[in-house]
Amino acid sequence: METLYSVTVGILTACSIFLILRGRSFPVVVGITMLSYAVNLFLFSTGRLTIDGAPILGTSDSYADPLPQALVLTAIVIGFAMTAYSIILAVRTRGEVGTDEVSDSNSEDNR
Amino acid sequence: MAGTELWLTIVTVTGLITMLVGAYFALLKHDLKGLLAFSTVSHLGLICMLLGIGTQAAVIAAMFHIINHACFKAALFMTAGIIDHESGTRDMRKLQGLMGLMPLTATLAMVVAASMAGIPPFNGFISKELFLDQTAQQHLFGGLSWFIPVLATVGAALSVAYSIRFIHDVFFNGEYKELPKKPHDPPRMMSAPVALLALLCIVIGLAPMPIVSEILNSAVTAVTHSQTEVKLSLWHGFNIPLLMSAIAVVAGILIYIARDQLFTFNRQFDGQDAKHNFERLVQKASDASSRLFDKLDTGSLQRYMAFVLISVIVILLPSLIDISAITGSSPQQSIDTVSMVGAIVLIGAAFGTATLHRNRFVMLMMLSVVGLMVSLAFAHFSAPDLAMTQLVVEVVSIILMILALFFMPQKTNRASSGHRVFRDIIIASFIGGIVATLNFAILTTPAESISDFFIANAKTGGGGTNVVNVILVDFRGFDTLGEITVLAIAAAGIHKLLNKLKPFMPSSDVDGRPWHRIKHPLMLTNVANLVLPMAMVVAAYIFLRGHNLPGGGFIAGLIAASAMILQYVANGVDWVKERFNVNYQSLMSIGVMIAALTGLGSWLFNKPFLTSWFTYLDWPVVGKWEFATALLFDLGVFLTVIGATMMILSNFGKMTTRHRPTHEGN
Repeated sequence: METLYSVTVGILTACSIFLILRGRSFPVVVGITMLSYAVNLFLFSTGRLTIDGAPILGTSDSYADPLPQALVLTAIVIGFAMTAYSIILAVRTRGEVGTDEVSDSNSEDNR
Repeated sequence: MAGTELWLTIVTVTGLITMLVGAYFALLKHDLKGLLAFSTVSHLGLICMLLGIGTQAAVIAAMFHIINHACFKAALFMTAGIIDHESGTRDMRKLQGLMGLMPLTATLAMVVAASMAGIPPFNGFISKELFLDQTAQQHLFGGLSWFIPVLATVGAALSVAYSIRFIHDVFFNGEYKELPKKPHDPPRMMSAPVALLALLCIVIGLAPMPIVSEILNSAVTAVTHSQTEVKLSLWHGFNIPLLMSAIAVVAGILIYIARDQLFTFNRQFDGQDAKHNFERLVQKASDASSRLFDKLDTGSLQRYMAFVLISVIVILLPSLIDISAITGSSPQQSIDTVSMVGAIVLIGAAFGTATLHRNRFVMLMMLSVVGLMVSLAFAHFSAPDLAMTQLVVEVVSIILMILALFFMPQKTNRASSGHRVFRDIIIASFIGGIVATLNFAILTTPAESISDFFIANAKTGGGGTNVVNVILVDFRGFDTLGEITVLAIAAAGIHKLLNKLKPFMPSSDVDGRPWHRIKHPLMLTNVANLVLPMAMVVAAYIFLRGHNLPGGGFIAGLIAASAMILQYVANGVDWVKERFNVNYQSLMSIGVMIAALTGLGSWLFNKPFLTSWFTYLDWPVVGKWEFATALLFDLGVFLTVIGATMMILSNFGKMTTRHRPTHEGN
């Protein structure tokens, strides 16, 4: 299970990094969003993987670690704020500059 | 830095080098004033070095030498001025044999030059002795400390040599030769100051205590911040410093005699100008850095990003290689079917998002699958709160991105070049591999968590059974307050960014088809109207139960917000505005304020910020029900989340209606 989980997080990270390295703003924003998922999963896993142990008192014998969960919960909301901010930045750049290319000084890099 | 080992070393060595270089150049100068100027540099180096050594006695020597140096150097400069004035030149190669013509000036000059050379019984001798004594006593460089007194003696010898040169070249060295003017002793008023200073040199040398002890005491006290009693005398008996002085005098005389060799040696550097050398060096350095800069800075952000990521790999790889085994001691759990299927879908969707990125709508759909699977992963691994939050956030962000896609090109037409894709895949794989390795190492290491405290105290201390929610609104409420503030700031920033934005507005989709004429489909409007009250009830329920069961302000706020967004989507901004005209900015601000004031409220009861309080009340109809101040705080969170989310989405949504092109082709 642990192997499967970490491989999944790794692949998620790799795909996000690949998108972040693209030359247009929209894939970059999507990459950042997906990277935040990967980071959240990673942070969440620092509490280890527990099945059927939701940290609701009185429902289980061994509880999952609630602290990473609390941290990740706020991280999800903040991640949303960040995604929203970057997407609006991308739209604004498209409106003002007229292109969604991330940089425009080297034609090779723009793709 | 004063008082540290490094400081002492730097100042001492700098002073020593300055003293030697200054003395060397003083000897080489043919101009009287040049000689004196470099000699001053050399003496300042000496003083600097004494301050670097920094003992009480060294500071006394430094202060005393400042006084002595002022006496003899001022007198020497005036002498040089007199010679220049009387003979019309300061060049020591032209001047010679002036002794017979200006005996008084020559006598005075000899006194002060002897003081500069550190010849007894003049004042310069005393401070030079003190200086040599200090260099012999320091132990700054351990076994190599002896090189400091040796070099100090060399400096003293050079000082003797240039002092002799000043006197011998000008006043002796053969018969008087033709000069621009025929010199003679200057008027009395011109030699009087020199005479006064020369007298001081003698008097301080013979009786230092009565003349300078008072002024020296206060100077040393000011430097060392401690009361000191200065004791000075001309004669200290036969000791090491006296020996060093003697060596310096003899060596100085020898150096002076052999000065022609020195001049010849130095002549080989004549063609070189230090200024040009320096300039050339600076130019070379700046050229090299611009070349390097041009190579690195191509203006390509992807390239910078790649550099950053490659550095991450380079920094992390060695430490990862050092780890002998990444598998910790925890036993691995077996893989169940749900996890396996979930992981396969998640991995597939992630690859889909990355590979299909050129068709952006498909990419978004893939991303939503990823988000959904992440939410299911949270649910599967005992984090119901996270699962709910992730689910609703996913909905809201996908709506936002689809909205954004309206203003952006829907496709990326050009593909990246092959080698670039290859490079990016390599970088991404490395980073992914590192992250997976780290995650695996963490997961297989036994956990030592501080959470036992939270689990033990959630009910008794925070009054709730949902430990995650109690952590959010109680134990770590301050963090949450910060978090909602950040959310509010981001929303305000977006509001500002959208202000006066003239977005790119396509009048048709990417294949040239015009937008659909029906803005608000009937089915959607009806369903949305049905869903809204239900969603609000669910939100209220989730909010109220949050303290004890999965739920809480964040989740309830997002549920309410997404139901309202559905209204916007189904019926349009204007329709909603007619019926529900709330200023989301105020809503958001009120939310943050409620949360902050709840925190401040605990001050009224002399409790620390954000201490929560709860009790059980008998409510009519409902029965016994808990009331906690944490619920008020959570209400603040709830309102902030609704306000911020709605502010972002409704403001953005408004752009589409305001700028929507008409079918006449605008």
